[in-house]
Amino acid sequence: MRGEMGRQESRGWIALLLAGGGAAVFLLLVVFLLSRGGLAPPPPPTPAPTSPADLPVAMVNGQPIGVNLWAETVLIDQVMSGLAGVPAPSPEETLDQLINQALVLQAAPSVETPSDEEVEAYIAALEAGWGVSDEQVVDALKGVGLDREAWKRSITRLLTVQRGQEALVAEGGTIEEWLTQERERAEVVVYQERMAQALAALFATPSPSPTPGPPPAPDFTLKETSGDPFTLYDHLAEGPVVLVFFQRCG
Amino acid sequence: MELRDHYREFRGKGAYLAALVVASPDSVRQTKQALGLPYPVLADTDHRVSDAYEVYDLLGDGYAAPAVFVIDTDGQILWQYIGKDPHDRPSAQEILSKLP
Repeated sequence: MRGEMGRQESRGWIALLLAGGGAAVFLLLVVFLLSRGGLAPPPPPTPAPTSPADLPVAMVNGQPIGVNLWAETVLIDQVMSGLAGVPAPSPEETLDQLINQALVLQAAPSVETPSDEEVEAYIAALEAGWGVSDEQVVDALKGVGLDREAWKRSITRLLTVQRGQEALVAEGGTIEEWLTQERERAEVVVYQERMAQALAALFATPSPSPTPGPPPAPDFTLKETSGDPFTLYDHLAEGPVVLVFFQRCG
Repeated sequence: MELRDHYREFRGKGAYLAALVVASPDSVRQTKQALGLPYPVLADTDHRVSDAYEVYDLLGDGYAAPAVFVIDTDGQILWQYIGKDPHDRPSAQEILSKLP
């Protein structure tokens, strides 16, 4: 009797140990999978207006150029060429430029990205050269479903590449010569079919335009002479408002 | 100040009236007191609001052009009048007739 009890107890203990061991193994597995990103979904790619999946349209020495980057750059090239009054590059030419940019960045990986001030200064100079205001640029970008940030990303990349080019030709030669040599040497694969599909999607999608109709009155808060704040929409909640702009006091 | 004399009619229609001037808070306070204006007079010192309503410096004098905006409770501008010279203003009766 006693012996049997002991066996039962020990079986129970072993079962517990096994269960505990199983849990430990399971935990280890979870930790392992998490560390590899196996269970957690990878962070979603940068959202682009056209393509949900950022599949590569080209590979440059094994490094992908995503369809989102390319599509965004095609649209930006079109908008900016329109503002500058020059013919826009074809989508193929834009991809060619991205491939060249990738080669420069691969060869000069240590160049610093420009600061926000440098990017803004470059943008201001571009706008001044084209004779357009920042609002006009933003409107034009909005027309193709892009915002100013997309353009800033593009300019940041452009300036980084320019620095890379300067570093590459610091010891002589021209960047054109360097690129010609590098293009012969590099392994560049272009996925023509995916490009065609993405292009069809890019230009089939009607550009999102806001619903027509006059824009609402701009809200504002100004201080009354009593020091109390006057907020337009707080008063609109209670009734119509007549705003009267006086030219001068008195 | 024609609007001052018709202010009760605006309030009678449930409408608020607010005046804006591109001027310092001090000169706005003095004007409001001197003229006994019953409605809020707001100093748009940095012409931020005049800019937003696109009336700033329309007459090229560094001030807001005389202008009236009738705004509905949903924020829609029902009617607007922008003066072509410093004395070009709609009458209080005309503004009242534009209220919903």
